[in-house]
Amino acid sequence: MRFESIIIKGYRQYRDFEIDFPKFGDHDLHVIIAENGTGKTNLLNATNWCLYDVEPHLQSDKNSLPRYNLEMFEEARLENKSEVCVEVTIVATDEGKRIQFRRRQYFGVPRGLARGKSEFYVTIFGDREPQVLDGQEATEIVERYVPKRIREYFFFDGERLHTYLANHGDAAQIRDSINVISQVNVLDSAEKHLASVASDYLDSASSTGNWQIRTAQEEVDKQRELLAGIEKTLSEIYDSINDATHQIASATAVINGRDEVVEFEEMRREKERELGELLSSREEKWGELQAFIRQYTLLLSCYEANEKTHRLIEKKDSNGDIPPEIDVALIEKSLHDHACVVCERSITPDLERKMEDLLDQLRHGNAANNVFSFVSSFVSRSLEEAEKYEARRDEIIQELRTLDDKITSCRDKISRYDLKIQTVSNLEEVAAAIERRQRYQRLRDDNLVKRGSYELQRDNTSRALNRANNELDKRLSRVEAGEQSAKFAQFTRTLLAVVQNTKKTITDEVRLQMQEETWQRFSSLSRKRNTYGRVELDEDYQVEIYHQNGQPCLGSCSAGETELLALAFTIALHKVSGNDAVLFIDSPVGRISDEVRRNFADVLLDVSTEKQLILTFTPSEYSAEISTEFDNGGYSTKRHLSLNNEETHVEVNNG
Amino acid sequence: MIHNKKIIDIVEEKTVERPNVRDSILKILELESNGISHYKKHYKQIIEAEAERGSNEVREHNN
Repeated sequence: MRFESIIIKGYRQYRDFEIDFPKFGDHDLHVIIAENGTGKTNLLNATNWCLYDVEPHLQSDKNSLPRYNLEMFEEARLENKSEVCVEVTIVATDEGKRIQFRRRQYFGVPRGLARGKSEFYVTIFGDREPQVLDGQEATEIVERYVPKRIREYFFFDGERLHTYLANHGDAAQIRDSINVISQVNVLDSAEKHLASVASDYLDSASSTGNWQIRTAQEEVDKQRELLAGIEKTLSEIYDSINDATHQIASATAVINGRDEVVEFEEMRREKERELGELLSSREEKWGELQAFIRQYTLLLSCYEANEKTHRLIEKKDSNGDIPPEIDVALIEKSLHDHACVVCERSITPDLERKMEDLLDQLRHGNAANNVFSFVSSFVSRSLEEAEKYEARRDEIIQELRTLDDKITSCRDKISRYDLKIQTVSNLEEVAAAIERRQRYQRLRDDNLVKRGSYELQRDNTSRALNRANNELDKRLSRVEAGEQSAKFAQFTRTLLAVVQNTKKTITDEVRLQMQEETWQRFSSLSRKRNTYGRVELDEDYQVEIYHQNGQPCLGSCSAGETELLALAFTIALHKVSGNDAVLFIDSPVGRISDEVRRNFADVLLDVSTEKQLILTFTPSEYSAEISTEFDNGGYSTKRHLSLNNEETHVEVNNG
Repeated sequence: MIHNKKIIDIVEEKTVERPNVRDSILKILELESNGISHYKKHYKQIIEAEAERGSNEVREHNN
């Protein structure tokens, strides 16, 4: 969806204002230049008010001027009018269809009080008569194109961009927003509804007396509930690790700001790396111990039975109850050659008859012999393996203890460096940062251990759920053709599996592509070529940037760099999620240094070949670095806004 | 409307040999993206019609 025009009547500085955004050439880029205080930000507010009934970019709600235009209001008062009307209209197009969003509100004259809530209409112009929608229907149209809860990813305030990634506590908001833009929420909803419909069909199928379906369904429900619980806990653990990681990074940024601690910080970092390796070895060893326990639970529980079987086989063997192990092929060959294949002596006819009798007996006894030798060898191997239990267990536990000792020693050394850093800096701020860093490192380490254990539980439960689902599918496929409910249940479950699979594929794809795109965009925007190594997005789309030495360093980025990263993230989000709605940025370069403005202009020019961009600048922000690129690159429109001589309303000038 | 064409591509890729599964999912996703009330009624209509269509196609194929 792109904006064709914005028409404003009686809203703040905009008395009777219209601006259009025709596209010329390859770049759907629209530049608006205005001095501070002219109404750039209120153009963004007008857009937000029209679509969402909010004005998020006012400095303060309480102290701001009224929503109506003061000049218009005064004229109405002098003309004894009873009310004034504030109206913002956005005309947009989507695939050739024209959509008009209009919000209107009346204010009484002379008291200036709002007469009720604002009215909102959406008019859709198509092949038939225009369709006018209001209330919930009108809101749904907005939600379809530019959902309210993610409006900040369409209508940016550049001045506040640096705070976009700082709010790490709001991980769910970012993930949900991305799910809305990339329409994973549609798959989510379809998944929930399909599961509920499948459950109805299954209830109906099992109510006809098919207990096999019922028990299989109960097992699926049980495993699903278990898995949901584990995933909820895991998600809390991931959030906690994220939060701790950012707290550690921000505390480290405070400590690194002091020259006198550089040397100790370097040594401490080395120990931190060592500790990281030790912790991951410990996690691996812990996983090995758990796998070992699972393997031996089975072996030890069968130990007594295996031992009994082994004694029985031995007894039968000593009593001669088990046919001897004779190679039938050798006897057959000796008979064929009429000579012993071992000693090469010839075989007499009498001996040949005896050998044929023996061969006959052996052929009959062979099947029993095979079973005996298989059981005997399996039981012997199991007993041998079980007897190694204590030694192997002690070995793993000893290895875990050694790792624990090394971890403790490493932590002690890190604490000693912290003490030294604190002593040399002798600053309360540094001491507080060290204490904060230690606290969050402990928390993160504890959670890393928990994470390993819960991930293992999740994998096992997922497998159990898969098995239960397969069993249920098997039972459903066995029912009589006439049982419609079972047939529909099976079909619904097929749909559910495809939807779940699609959701997983698209979620993984979106996240990895966004990670790659964010990094590409950030690399083009940033002037630091030798500092940053990569960007990572976790499952909640929390952004982390890594130094080339492998350390996370978002906490150490300047406000300008964080803004570039937030912009890179947003551009990546629009590109990867497939959303083609407009991107409107007020003051995009407010905090960005001159050196990177040219890169910034290049990136925005590139983006404008794929989607509509509306950018507002002050004349000083629209500096040579930006204007040269845009003027050469080819914007679609460039407008100047200014106040009239009486400073009562905004006027627009082309050029 | 499903504006994220990747979703449609993935569904189509995963249901190449099952047109009734593909059509059911695309119809359901279209309903969901436009906002849906009384979903069970609409879902069941789609599922029952498409499951029948699948069975008929299998029967025709076998004959």
